[in-house]
Amino acid sequence: MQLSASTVKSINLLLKVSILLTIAGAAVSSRLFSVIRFESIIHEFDPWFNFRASKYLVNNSYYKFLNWFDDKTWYPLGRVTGGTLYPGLMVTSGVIHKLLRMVALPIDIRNICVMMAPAFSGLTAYATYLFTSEMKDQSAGLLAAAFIGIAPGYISRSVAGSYDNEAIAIFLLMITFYTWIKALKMGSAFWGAVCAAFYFYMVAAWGGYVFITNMIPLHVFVLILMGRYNDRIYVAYSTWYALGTLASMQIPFVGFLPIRSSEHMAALGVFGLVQLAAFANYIKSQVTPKQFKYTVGLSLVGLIAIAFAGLVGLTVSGVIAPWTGRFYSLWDTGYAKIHIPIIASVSEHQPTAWPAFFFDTQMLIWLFPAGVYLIFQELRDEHIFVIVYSILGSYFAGVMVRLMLTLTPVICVSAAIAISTLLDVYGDFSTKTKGDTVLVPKYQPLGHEKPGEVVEDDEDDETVDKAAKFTLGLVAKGAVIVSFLFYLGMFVYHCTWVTSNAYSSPSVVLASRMPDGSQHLIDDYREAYYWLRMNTPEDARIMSWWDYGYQIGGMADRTTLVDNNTWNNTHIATVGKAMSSSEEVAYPILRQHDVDYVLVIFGGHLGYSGDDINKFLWMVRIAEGIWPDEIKERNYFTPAGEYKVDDKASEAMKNSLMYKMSYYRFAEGTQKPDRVRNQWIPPTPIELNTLEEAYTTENWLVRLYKVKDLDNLGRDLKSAKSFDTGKAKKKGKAAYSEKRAFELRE
Amino acid sequence: MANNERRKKNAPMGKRIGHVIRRGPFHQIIRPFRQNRNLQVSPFSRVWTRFEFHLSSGHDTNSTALHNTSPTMLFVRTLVLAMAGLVAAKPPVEARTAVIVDKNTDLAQYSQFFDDAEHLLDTVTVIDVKDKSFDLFTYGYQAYDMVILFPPQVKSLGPALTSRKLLEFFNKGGHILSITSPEHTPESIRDFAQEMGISMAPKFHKLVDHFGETGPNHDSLTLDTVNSVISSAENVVYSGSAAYLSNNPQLVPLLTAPSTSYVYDYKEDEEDEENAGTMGTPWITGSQGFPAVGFQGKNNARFAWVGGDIMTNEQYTAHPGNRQFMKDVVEWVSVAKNVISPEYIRHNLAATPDVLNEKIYKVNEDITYSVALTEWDNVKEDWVPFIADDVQIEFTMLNPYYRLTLEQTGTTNFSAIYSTTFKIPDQHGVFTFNLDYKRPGYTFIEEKTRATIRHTANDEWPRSWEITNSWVYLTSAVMVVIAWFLFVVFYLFVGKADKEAVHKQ
Repeated sequence: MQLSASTVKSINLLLKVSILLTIAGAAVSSRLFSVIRFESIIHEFDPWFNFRASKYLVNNSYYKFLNWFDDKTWYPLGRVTGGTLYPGLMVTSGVIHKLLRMVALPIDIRNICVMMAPAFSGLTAYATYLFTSEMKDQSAGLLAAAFIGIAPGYISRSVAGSYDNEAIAIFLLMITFYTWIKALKMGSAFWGAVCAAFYFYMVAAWGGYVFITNMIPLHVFVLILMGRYNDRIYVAYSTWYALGTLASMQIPFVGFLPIRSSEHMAALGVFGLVQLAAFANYIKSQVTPKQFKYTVGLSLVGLIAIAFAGLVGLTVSGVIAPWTGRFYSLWDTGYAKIHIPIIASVSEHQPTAWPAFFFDTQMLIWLFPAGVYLIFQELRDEHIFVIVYSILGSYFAGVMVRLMLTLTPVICVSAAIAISTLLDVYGDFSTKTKGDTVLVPKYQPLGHEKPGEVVEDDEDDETVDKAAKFTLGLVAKGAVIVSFLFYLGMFVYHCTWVTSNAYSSPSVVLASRMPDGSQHLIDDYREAYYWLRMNTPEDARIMSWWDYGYQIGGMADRTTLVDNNTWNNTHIATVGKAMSSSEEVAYPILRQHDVDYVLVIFGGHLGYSGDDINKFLWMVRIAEGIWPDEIKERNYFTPAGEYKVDDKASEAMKNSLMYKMSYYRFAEGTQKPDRVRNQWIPPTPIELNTLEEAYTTENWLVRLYKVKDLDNLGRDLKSAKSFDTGKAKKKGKAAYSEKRAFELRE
Repeated sequence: MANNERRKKNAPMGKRIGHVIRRGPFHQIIRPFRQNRNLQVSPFSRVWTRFEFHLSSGHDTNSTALHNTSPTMLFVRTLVLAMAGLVAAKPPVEARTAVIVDKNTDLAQYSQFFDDAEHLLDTVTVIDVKDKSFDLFTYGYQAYDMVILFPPQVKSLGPALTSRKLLEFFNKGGHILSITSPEHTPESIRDFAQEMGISMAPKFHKLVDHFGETGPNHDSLTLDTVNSVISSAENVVYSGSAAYLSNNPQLVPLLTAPSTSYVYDYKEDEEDEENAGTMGTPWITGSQGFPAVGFQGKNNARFAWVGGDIMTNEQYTAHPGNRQFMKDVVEWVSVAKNVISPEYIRHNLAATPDVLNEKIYKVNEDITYSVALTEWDNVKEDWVPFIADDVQIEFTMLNPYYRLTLEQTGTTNFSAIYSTTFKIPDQHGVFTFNLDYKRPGYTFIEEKTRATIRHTANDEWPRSWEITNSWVYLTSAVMVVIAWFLFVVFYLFVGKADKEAVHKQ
């Protein structure tokens, strides 16, 4: 049966649409494990802040949100929240909330927040499809969309409830890249402007926009170096840079950074370079090549040197902010550990362990180089983009675990190109044989690609034994196709498994298994936060390590001293110092900061390894950074250099507030094992004078302490406590015939 | 008559004024207070009565039970008779005083003391120290507001009056007046006082002075009070023990021993026949000895200790100074004297004095803080303005940004208004107005009021054209726009015309 061209076209479209819809469906549904297993709840830490900010936005106006001064965090400093956040995410959910209300769907803001990431993952799949289609063809695009839809590297940050900036940022990253490629290819100011618009959205949504800010200039720079400069590049880049930079400066948090910080200087420099290149090109067309070479070439080099010297000069003089510490740690993984413990202490800032690559992308990781190799074969302008992206992405993903996220899209794109090429070659079962040597297909000219179209060679007649070759080819093709179908099946299986087992825990609720295999939920966090919400005054100030700041703010609705927005290292170090000092030192700090309650996470009873004693060394280190004379990390180790909490624990350790709060009443009377550190806690009762236990949750996971008020009689709290417990009581007359050691009245 | 009763009732209620104020935002409390003043229904009375009611119901059942079950408990006839009329005229919710005695105490000896104190001690319950059913607390609440401990001759005051119970009573706001004698200083009181920094001399120690008119045994000293804030009695004739004091700033010395005096163990001196007339090392010498001391807790509960029994009728008749002194001390302990309280605390923008106690202010604004201080006048039985020139506040975020002395800017009928206006520093954050007024002998005032200071919002900066410096940039921006427009015009039309002209030529 012969189908007309238009029928083929509409079937093609129908297939494409249904495939993309299916992919979006798969992407969304595989992210719903957490909602089904647990409940519709905001996950982890940062999302709690985003959620709280979204609520603020929805309950107040955008204007109020923009100028929000948050006095419930960073007590007593407060935080200029409206000016120090990326509002994209909250505004997006706020707009969705409003739109749904307009169509009479009053959906709770929480549910919008929870479902935001899965919804956007569908869009990401579409954006990746568009991007990959530009690179090869639509079949590769569909594959890439399917890959990004379920790749664990992306799912890890976009399951339902993971309401974080990355949830929408990856979509924006891919759509910006797509529009950039489009602009570059067509040399269109329109597409450049669209690219700038998406870039602006990206800037509004995620601090990772700097990645784009450097990727696009780098792409242009490489193109210029390769001598591929043309007017299309000029138009696309100039439009994007001018509009994008102006737009990005409208975000309060970004402000003047694009012209003042080193991270943005590459974009500015390339902007200048493009102008020079355009000028040089013009000169080139006017003079002879020889003249051009000597005059223009030389002056170009001179200009670049001057620009670079100016850049260095401005940086040294402080007009341009030097690289931030977080950026240094991208180049030297050991830098943060030595200089900025606050950054090194964050687990997602650690260098990636190699199994993580496989874990997060499975077979795509080995298809990735193959795809890049195939791209090298053709090396059009846009292919250079993928190459640059893959190099940068791989490097950054190797340096920091969280940047695995930015690498995943390019892995998916390259792998899709590799597999699609493979299918192009081996998936052709038509009776026509192809030339032996064709392994790399010639790509179709742009805009004319048809999926599945066979690339033909003209040298058919030269083959001798067509039938034999065909059979042989069929076997070989069959083997490759079948094995790759198997791999793809494995990939889907792996992705589902990883998603369901590793990335779907809200981490607010912990799941464990009972001996009979049934699931048991440990809900201590919420128990404690709810207790705080219900039993403490509304303006009570809670001190905890910064990890729990956002959660306390979000769930307990109480004022915190420090939180996950680690903008003030000194304030965090103050908390670290209070935690790692003895009660006598800590109490004045607590009083000065008007602390009412102290919250610690203690996993020793349950065997929960993410507790505060395990994070304790970071508190010590961060405090040591500010008070090297008072806090010394060495003091918290045993003389043998071990980190012990049992009877061998060092004095500083045993006297520290954190140790006391963690093990208070834990092993009273009998020795008890700490199940995290596998050490026995000595039965000596721990004495707390300045704090009193307020609440301990069911599994001892969260412990709350109330800070005692000053003694009514003006005694220090230690002697007050010993009087109350009767320890100071002396018997007989002798006690009074001796004078007490008072500081006598003048 | 009804009004008078109300007035009477105001006295003890007023003592709690500080507590009441903390119960809600000031403007809520203050306005009804001022409006209803003429009606004699203050919000204090409302709140306090409710609170009291709860207590008194417990107390009533308790005392009835005591009366029924313990025959040893005494309602001393003379006292009850003396105060019967008064008690009957007063509402049942009053400052409840427990007088702790033992069976050797003859309260008739102290009738003048009680007569003087009658207007302060509303319901007096006399309790035998041996009474096993006696308890300072009923269901965890205080059963009494004040306890007067007479020097008992028993060694121990029993389980109801251990040092820890006394401390708990004190910490919950109860007032204690303790009189001891060199022979009888119960250990619980000694322990309790020790915690405050009062180190009483051991048993059988007394204060003597060999100079001046000090009687045959050189132990009857004539002293003047040292603290005119509490008492300015002169010629207090004292014989008894003394204590030495720590540097605790909450202590208020009432009497100081003369520099020539000392405290020694007279019993040892008497028993030791060989060295009769000479004595061992004195316990305290000179003006380090304090025969009477007051103490005020951070919760404004008051405690006073007198180391010798100087308040019998006999003493009173002989020495009017003693009478004056004890009258003042009782007045002080029963918080009828030196009671100051903030009637209200306000902060507002200097520009808008009508909008009070906003939760949030902006940096660099001028702000006015004012506090109205009032003092209880026991003679007038009313609140009067409290006049002082040393009232300060701190404007604090972690550290004080300002420490300002408030100026008196006016008076209301009941209080003096102190205020100051200052410019909020250019620093956002949660600031505290810290009013910390602690003067020895006076009620401590420590009021922390928090206000958030926010940053300048995006539209609160001056517009760009209002800044002269920006004109350069504005001009250049406008010029570029115009230049661009001209360029386009020229490029499109002028050039073409030229070319056409050239072409034509």
